[in-house]
Order: sequence, then structure tokens, then C-alpha cells
Amino acid sequence: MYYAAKLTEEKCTGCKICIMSCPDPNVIAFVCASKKVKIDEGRCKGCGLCVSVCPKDALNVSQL
Amino acid sequence: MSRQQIADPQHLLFEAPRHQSFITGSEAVAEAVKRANVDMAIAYPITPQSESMHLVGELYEQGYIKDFYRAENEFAVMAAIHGASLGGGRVFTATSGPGTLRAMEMFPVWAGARQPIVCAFMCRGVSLPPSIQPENIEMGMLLDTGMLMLHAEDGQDFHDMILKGFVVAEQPDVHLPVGVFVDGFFATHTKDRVMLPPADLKLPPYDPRSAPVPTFDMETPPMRVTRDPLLNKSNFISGSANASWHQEILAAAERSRRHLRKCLGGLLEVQNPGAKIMIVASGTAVSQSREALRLLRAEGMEVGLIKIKSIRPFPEAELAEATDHADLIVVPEFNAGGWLGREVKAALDNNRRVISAPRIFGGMSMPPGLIVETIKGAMGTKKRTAAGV
Amino acid sequence: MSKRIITPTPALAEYLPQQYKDLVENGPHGRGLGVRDLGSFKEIVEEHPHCAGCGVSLGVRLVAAALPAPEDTLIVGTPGCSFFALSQTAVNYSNTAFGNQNAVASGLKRMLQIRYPDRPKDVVVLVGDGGIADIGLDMTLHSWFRREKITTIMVDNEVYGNTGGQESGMSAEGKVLPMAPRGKNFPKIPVFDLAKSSGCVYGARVTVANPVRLGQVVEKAILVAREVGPTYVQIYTPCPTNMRFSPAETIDVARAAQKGTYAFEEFMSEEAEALIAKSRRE
Repeated sequence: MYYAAKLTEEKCTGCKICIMSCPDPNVIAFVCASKKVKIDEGRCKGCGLCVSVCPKDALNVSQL
Repeated sequence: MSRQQIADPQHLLFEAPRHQSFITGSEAVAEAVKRANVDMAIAYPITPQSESMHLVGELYEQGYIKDFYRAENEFAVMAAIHGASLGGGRVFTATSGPGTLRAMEMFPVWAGARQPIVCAFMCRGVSLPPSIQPENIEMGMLLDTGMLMLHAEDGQDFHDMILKGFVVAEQPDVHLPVGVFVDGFFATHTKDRVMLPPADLKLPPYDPRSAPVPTFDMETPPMRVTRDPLLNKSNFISGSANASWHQEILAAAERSRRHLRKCLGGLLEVQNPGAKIMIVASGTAVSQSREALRLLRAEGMEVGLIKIKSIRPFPEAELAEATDHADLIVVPEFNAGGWLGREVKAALDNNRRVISAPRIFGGMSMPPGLIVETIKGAMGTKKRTAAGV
Repeated sequence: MSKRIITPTPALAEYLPQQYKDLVENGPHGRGLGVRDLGSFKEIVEEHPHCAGCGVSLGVRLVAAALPAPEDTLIVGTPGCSFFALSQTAVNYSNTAFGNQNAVASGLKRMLQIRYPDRPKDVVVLVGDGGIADIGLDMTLHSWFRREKITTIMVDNEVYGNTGGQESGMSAEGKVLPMAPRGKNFPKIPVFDLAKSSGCVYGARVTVANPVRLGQVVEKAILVAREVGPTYVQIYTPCPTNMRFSPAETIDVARAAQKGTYAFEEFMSEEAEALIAKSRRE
């Protein structure tokens, strides 16, 4: 069973705190056009640190 | 400081006219370093190494070396020398006995990281009981660290082997650390005639592009490189990579033979090659054996002497050839373990011919008479054995 | 290094992995990027095998993002968890015998000063608490006493993570751990205070719960080390695996520590302060 972070795009304000709290590189990217983040689920280890820091509850960890 | 000209190593080592000096082995070390174009040296005091590194420190003060400092212990010295060598320059340091053991963890690192570091070892006893006296047991402990090991007999050897050590260590197909060993006090603290090349000549600077591994300076691609022995991550691929890296270190040591033969005129040297009794020795035991040869000749006995100059790589084939005809092979050495005797026995067929004695340790000099007695004793045993007694 | 050195010729480029090409096209080299820019460039840290929620790997990733000149930075490490991400980071990384990092860095920095007298090469020690506070304490302190121009960064997970979670000198007093079956019976080794009294001209104590501040202090520490003298940054990087909390709680644990043992603290010499003020103006 693989778990990964998922984004509810409507809630994301693009504050980037999740990007800076992820222990793994190049997993969460910032999309300039939409001013929101994007998650590479294939690289995510599903630890949930991004969920723990998101001020808008825009992230959750669930089964892939 | 007089201005030095860069000389071709061939010229500096073999062709430039030499002048005679009367100096200690420690001074011979400094004379070699002065001509070696060393970028950086690091030192930590220990008897009997200290005097030579005082003199190397003075070379820094005089401008012959670009950086020098006194570090906090020998492990730190060998680690910092490793760091300096990683950075792509020529480095030198030296230690003795307990310092060698304190620093032990770094020697396989040097070889593993393919560093052309030259380190002098002024060998002495290691505790317990406490001893600062001459002994070379530490050489036996360093046989499998991956470094090349040269054993100097006297001040002349010590000087030449340090200079030649840099030349061999930095060959692109070798690029390994070289340890130059002498028996402390006997060779470091006594004065001897040493023929020195001109002081206004020095080796060409180290060229980091000669390294078979990328220099650690963020100027040499690839940039993503763990520039040290590979990290073993307990899987098949990293295990295989680690093993093949290790094999390449051993292969590089094998390839050094060609360069050592050229620089040292052979990994060993033979006196009285036809004699049926051969002494095999290294370091100052060679000098004492020469004296034993003289005593035996006075009694009408012809004995031969094989001086082993390179301990790693070990001259197995040359030794087998030089002792093929011998009935008795005696290996005197300056330590309790008898590591040279073991090396000789492992290299030869019919090694019952080998007597690993006398072994001198604890601080005495080796009486030539003891070598004579060992030979006579062994001959007596052989006669009795032959007669069935 | 200049960008030219890592740029492949077109003929070679097609054989290189995508990660390498990304690094050349969108890496941080020469762009003055920092922690705030994460997510918008190809990081020098690559995919690594650290546990989920690992504080050490987060600390390493943030330090890598904060390097003021990743194109001229050399990292010296030591065995332990700290090497897993660093061994595949796009900088020269040396990792040899346990605890020797500040001695290796001293020799390396001096040799690079000889070879590149006019170009700063940042030598950064990035290792765990065991490497600095226990087995390598003497060499750490001596590099500070000698005023070596290197930055020492401790990623403190308060435990020997890679060998199975044993007590380290930086473990909290009273904590029951392997090799401390009755609980650790002495306090955390005051490495931060030792840095102050041993010659460091700049020091900061931070946690991974404040990544922006972490980036700022790392950048300051490296710039000061370039010009003035030794600098030290101590980062709390909690370990969910050995401390047995959920990987999702690493930041919460670090944030809680900011109210106690890991309250933010910074010190600097006058010379360091002037240099930092000058670099702000520029």
C-alpha cells in the first residue's frame, strides 16, 4: 500500500510552507501560472509533514 | 630562501650533480621535503619523529612550503592531510609508533580515496611496556592498508625514498599513498654521509589532473561525487562497486612495481648472489647484516645478503629467484612479531629453509654477532638433521 | 565553478539522466536562490533513502537550498544518517572516518585557499550530533581554536540514528535509549556554548520548524566564515523512527522544542555583525 499527499487545489493559497517542510527534494513544486503547489505523488513518501503545517487544510495523505 | 628552479624528476633524482653532506636522518627528511615542492605539511610531535617536523616547519617559515600547522593529535593530522590532499595539492607528514596506531583509521582511507600522500614513519616501539626505543612492529600492522611501503636503511635511503615516493605516488596509473619507513633513532638521530642534489632544484608541482579520480575542488566534473571510498549501502550493486574499487587499489599497487624498479633500481638488491646462505633483511637490519657478512667472511664463510627496499608491493618473484639456490635463509628484524619473516616464508617454496630470527625488540641495537650465531646455529641443526641425529 | 563546466556537449546530453539535465537547465548555480525559492528550481539534493518524516533529511535539504554559492561549496560529512542524502547531492562531498570532519575540512579549506587565493570556496561541515559532540568533539573544538574559516552545521536528532537509536551526548537527560537502559544520566553537551567560548565568530541555534530562519542563519554563517572565521549552526532535526513518534509530527516536535532547549539564539562578533550588515546593504 502506498500513501501520498494530495492537494485540494481550491484551498491552496500558494504560501509554500509545505514545500519548505518536506524532507524530500523536488516533491512539491510551485506552479507560477496558478500560484499554487503541485505534488509529484510518485516521489512522495507520505509522511504527512506538509499536512501538519498547511494553514488552509489544503492537503491530506491518502492511499494512492 | 633561494629561488628554486623546477627540474625534471629524472634530472633531479639521477642526473644533477650531488654534493656530500654529513647530516642526521631527520635533516635528510627536511632536505628531501625542501626539494619536493610540497604545498602543505601538518605535524604533531612524537619521539623520534619530532626533529624532522621541526625542520619541515622551518621550511614553511623560509617559504619552501605554502602552509603548515601543528595539529591536535595524529588522527587529526592524517585526517587534515587527507583533506588537504583532496583539495588537489602535494602534502607531507610524518609520525612514529603510537602516533601511527592513533592515526590508523586514516591510512586505508588515503589508499581508498587514491591520495598520493607521502608520509614518513620513524618507527619505534608501542606500549606496553612503554617504549620510545627503535622497533618496527608498526610496519607489520600497516601491511594491508593499501599504501605502498618503502623501508629505508639509512639517511641516504630516507632522503631519496621520500623524493622518489612523491614521483611514484603521483603516477596516474598508481596514485596511491607512499609510506617511507625507517627504524627510529638508528637512522633518524645518527649522522651519516648523505649525497644531496642541488638545493636550488625542486620537483614540478603536483598536477591534480594526473589523478584517476576527480579533484575535490568543485571545478572537476562530475560535481555529484562522494570523493571517498564508496558508501556501502548493503545491496548487491553497491557491494560490487565497492569490491571493484578495492580491486583497483590492489591493481594500482601492482602497477607501481614498474615505477619502483625504475626509481629504486629494483625492489630488492642482492650482495654475494651465489652464496648458499642468504640473509634477507630490510631497514637498519641490512646494515647490521653487512657487518655480519664481514665477520663471517673473516672466518671463511661466504654469505649473501638481500636488502628488501619495497615491502608493499613485496618483491615475491625477485626474492624467489634470488634465493632459489640457497639452502638457508635467515631473516633478522627489529620487532617481536617477525612480520618480514612471515612475508619471506609466504613468498618462497620450501620455506623450511627460512629462519625468522634473530628478532630484536625493546630498544637494543642488533649485534651482528647474534646474526652470525643464528646462522651457525641453524647450520648445526641442519647438519644434525642431515645425519639423522 | 562556472556553469560551463557542468554543461554537457549536445552529443553527450542525450545520454545523461533527466535529473542531470534539469540541474543544468534549472539548477541553483549562480542564481542567488534560497529556502524561499524552493519548489521553483531543481534542487541539488536528489531523491534519498531517509525515513518518511526524517528531520535530518529536512535539515540537509534546507541547508542545501540556503547555500549562498552551491557552485563553489564543498561539504565534509561523517558517517551516520546525515550522509544518506548528501552522498547524492550535487556538490563534492567527503565522508571518511567517523568524527574527523573538522580536521578534514581544515586541511581542505587551507589547500583550496592555496589553489584558489582569489575565489572563495565555502567548506561546510554538515554532520550529526554524535559526530560533533561525541567522537569528533576534540577536532571540532580545535578547528574553532585555530580559527579555521569553515562553517560547522550540526543536524541534531539527539540520537545515533543510523546504528539503531543509541544515546548520544546530545540526547536529553533522562531519556531511556539503547545503551542508556536507565536513562541518560547527564545533560545535553553544551556545544552551542562551547562554540561561543572556543572561537566561533557567529553561531545560531534553530529548528526545522522555522525553515526561513534556518535558511537565513545558514547563509549568514557561510558568508561570515568566508571572511572572518569559524561559524556554527545547530539545527534540531527530530527523528520519528528512533524517538517513536508519527512521521507527521516531526515539525510539531521541533516547534515544541523552540519553547525550551531549542529557543532561537544567535551570537556574533562585531566583525561578523559588520559583515552581515554590509552584505544586507548589497
